[in-house]
Amino acid sequence: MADDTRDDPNRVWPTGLTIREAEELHKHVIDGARIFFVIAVFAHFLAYVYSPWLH
Amino acid sequence: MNQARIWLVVKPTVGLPLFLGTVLVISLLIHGAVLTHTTWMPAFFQGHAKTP
Amino acid sequence: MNRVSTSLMRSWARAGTRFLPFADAATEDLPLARLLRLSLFQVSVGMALVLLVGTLNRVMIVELNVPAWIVGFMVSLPIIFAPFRALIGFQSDVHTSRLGWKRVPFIWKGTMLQFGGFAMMPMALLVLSGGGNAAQWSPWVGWVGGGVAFLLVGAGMHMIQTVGLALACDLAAPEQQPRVVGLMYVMLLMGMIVSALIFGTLLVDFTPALLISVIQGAAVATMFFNLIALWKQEARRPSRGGEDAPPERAPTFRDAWHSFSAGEPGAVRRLVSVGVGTMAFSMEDILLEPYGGKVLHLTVASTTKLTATFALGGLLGFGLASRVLSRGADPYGLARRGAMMGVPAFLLVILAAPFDSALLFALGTLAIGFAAGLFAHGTLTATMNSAPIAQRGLALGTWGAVQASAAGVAIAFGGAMHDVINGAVPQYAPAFGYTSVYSLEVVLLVATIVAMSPLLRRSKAAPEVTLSASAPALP
Repeated sequence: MADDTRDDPNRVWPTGLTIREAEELHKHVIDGARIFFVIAVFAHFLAYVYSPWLH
Repeated sequence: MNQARIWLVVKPTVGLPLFLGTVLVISLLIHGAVLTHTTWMPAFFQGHAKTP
Repeated sequence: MNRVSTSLMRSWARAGTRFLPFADAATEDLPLARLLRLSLFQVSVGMALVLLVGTLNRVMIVELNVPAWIVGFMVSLPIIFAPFRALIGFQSDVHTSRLGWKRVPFIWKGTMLQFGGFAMMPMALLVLSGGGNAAQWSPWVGWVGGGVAFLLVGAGMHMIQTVGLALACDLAAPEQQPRVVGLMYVMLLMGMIVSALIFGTLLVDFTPALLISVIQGAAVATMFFNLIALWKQEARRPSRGGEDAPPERAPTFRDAWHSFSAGEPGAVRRLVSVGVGTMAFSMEDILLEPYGGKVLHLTVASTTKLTATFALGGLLGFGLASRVLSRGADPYGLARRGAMMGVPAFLLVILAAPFDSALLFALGTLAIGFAAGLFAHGTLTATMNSAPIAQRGLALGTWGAVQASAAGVAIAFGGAMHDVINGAVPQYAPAFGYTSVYSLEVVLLVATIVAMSPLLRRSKAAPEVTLSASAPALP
């Protein structure tokens, strides 16, 4: 890694991300989890409709 | 986002595969358990479902 | 593990330089292994296309007994998203990211959508067919479920392809772009052919459980291909905007569109010719096979070979276009020549009916594939070449939007026109319905040639390599 990122006061170690970068990354993680959750709920509902599961 | 600062401590290259991998493993375990503890699901996967 | 995959990649790359016509697509900046890896996103798009338009289409009608109109409606749902490709491309251009990524977030989101759509699609299809316990529920459950699944896959597919092409364009130096375009097209075609074969073999003994396995397998494969394709491709540029600077006001889509259409002369004309030309080349899409079967009385096996012939023509077209364009030929000129070759190709297919000649038909099909390959490659390369760096996503997005919408509309229109004409004049059926669609395509091709002429004169300054020397002689 180049020296200028190592000396950047905004970067937090051990990972070397800035707080804003971590926030953006986290936004993607949470958004992904939400999309995934909604799709999983929908799929399980369809499986419930089709199969003898819980009937 | 509340817990965003976790990525200042945990490297995303470690934490993300760990997180997503855990989700994968748990879901596989649960579906596997359903597969072994019901009668209709193994039958379905043996091709015994009625096609319309 | 890592070492194995590296050496595997190397041998791939070596085999590539020997067998692929795109060997020198790679330079020091963008080695072939990395380029092949990036092109895997096209494989996942090809797979999705084949599943939606080919495999599931058939499975729903034959195995699941879903009414044809519902199937037609579901399959055409992804087309709704085609016009939004321009918007997606634009957003990836102006995306401000602290992580310094413009394209990766969009390809990732597209991958999520396609994955999610495929993950729930088999359940939705089974409910749609009214099997299992689903008959006790309102049919609306199945319709909404199927609609959502198809919409998700369609949206994901368009997103991945638009932004993926923009990323490829970002990574490739201008002189590499023709070869990169060729490689992208070839990988799309390969993905379609290979996954059509695989899905066909897997679904021979159809059971509902098998449908779930196959489609969810496609979902996992999507994730797998796109992760590999995307891994460490786009360089991070975290300095954009600075750490604490407020994000600069992004231009609106309207602003960007105005500067895009005013910036380069002929932008709108180019889009119009892409649209008309694509319509001309895709109207016959679902009509060639039944034409061979009903009019020329070919067997199912030989009409399937026909599809392979068409794809082979396309491959030859992409290969030749890559060669010629990377020597500095004018991409508009090449696309125009593709349209010109399309005219005799469609005439051959039309003449096959009165002469009752399968040979003429096969030649014509090969030539249509070839000409369509030249046209598609030429227009996409022209789009890449002329796109301003800051507007690549928008340029490729509009190209894709026009191209995909035109193809979708043309395929639907071609089918409808054939039905209407054969119904109106049953005494000339079945040949007349088909040949009138082909004739309309010839007319559209001529319109494309005329529409493209001014573009040609404008870029005459570039040295033009004559095509006739290297082109295979067309009948």
